[in-house]
Formats: sequence, structure tokens, C-alpha cells
Amino acid sequence: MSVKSMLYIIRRTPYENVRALETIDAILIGAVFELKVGVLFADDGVWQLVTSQSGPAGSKNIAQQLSVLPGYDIDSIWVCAESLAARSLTAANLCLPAVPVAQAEQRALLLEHEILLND
Amino acid sequence: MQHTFTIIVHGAHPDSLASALALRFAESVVERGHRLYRIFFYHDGVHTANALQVAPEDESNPAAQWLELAARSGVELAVCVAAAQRRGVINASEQRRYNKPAASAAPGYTIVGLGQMIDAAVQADHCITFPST
Repeated sequence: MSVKSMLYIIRRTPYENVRALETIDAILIGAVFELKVGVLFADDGVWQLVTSQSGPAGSKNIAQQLSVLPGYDIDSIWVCAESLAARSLTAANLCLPAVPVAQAEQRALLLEHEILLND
Repeated sequence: MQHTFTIIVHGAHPDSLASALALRFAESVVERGHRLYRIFFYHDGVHTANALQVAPEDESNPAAQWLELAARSGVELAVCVAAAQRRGVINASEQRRYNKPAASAAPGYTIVGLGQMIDAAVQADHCITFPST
């Protein structure tokens, strides 16, 4: 069977609950299944990428958890350009080399992937 | 042409509409002659499999309705083991292993690894997620 591509779309804040951590587990399993895995961060999901973040005491740091993705050959990481701008963030604030993509181009990005999952 | 569907559920009754909406979608899939490949409960969706819930008699009960749909259609109701353990949804063997006072997982739901979610997304023609609302 040919390699399928999967795009995980993340729109939720990092520390609202355990969802962000569980979502990273799902992304990594996609890589273990040898899918071509991409991740798009949009809306409040862009907060997950911010390098200088700290959650409630005892919670795992989501930026640190995300930093393992390239080690699983997950290099296709995008971030919604408008979502960044609306939160006064730039690529320099992010813990991974995420490629900014405008909303107008995101439909094409979604269509490039056979499997779409979201948080 | 018959299509296969995987449905991923991220929320549970009564705190989220995700389970009820996913149930209606799943019933429509079957009614229209398509096939359900797997229902996968993740995040807070795993509460759907908690057999210890008591629904008021005059309220809907998606947990029971999922079991009816599974009996009717043969679809697997799969629950992520890691997400379920975090939320106290465990079966009898986990109860013994972790020395807990009760098992809570309803028979009819299978407790599986997260890989089964990715497998289901890959195998089905369509994969739809119902996020928690």
C-alpha cells in the first residue's frame, strides 16, 4: 500500500486540559505507522508552539513535547499566518521551524492530505 | 457505491454534544447503506464507555444508544486505553492489575491502543472527527 499522508490540525490551547498532550501522542503514532505526517497549528493552537511557555505546576511543557516531532521525521509543520498575527506572535517566538501559511492557502494544504484529524 | 467510515469522538454526554452528534451521523451512515469501519473514542470521549453512569429516565443516553447501534451494525466501539485509564474507565483485568475498587468499562466497548485510531483513519474511505464542544 502506498504511503498515506495525514494532517493533524491543532486549534486548542496547550494547558486547558490533557488534550494537547494526548494529541501529540496521536501525531507520534501516525509517524510510527509510517504515514507522511504534517501538523497545522491554527487559532489558539498557535500558543502550543510558543517557546517560552509554562503550564500549571506538574504539567508537562507542551513546547518541549512538540520538540521531539522532527526526531520522528515529522518536518512538515505549518502555522496559520493570520492566527500568529492576531496574537502578536512571529515565527521567532516558535519552538519549531513552522512555516506560516495564509488562510487563503490552507484549503489547498488540506486537500494535499488524505487523512485529516483535529484536536 | 458503498463507503466505509471511521468516526472519532472527542467528547461525552452530558458535558459535550460530540457523542450525541456522532451517534446521529453514525446512524445515518448505516441507514444509507454505507459501512462503519470503527468508532474510536479519544480524549474525553472515553467517558462514553463508563458503565457506571446513571442517566435520568427522561434524558437521552448516548452510551446505551451506541451499544444498540453496535449490536445492529456490528461496528467496533473502540476506546483508547491510555485516555481511558487517565479518566477511570478500566476493565476487569486492568482493575486487578492496578488494584482499583471497581471496573467501569461497559461490555461492548473494546479497550485498545491508540494505533487503532490511526489504523481506522487509514483503512476507511472517510474519517470524521467530532471534537468536544
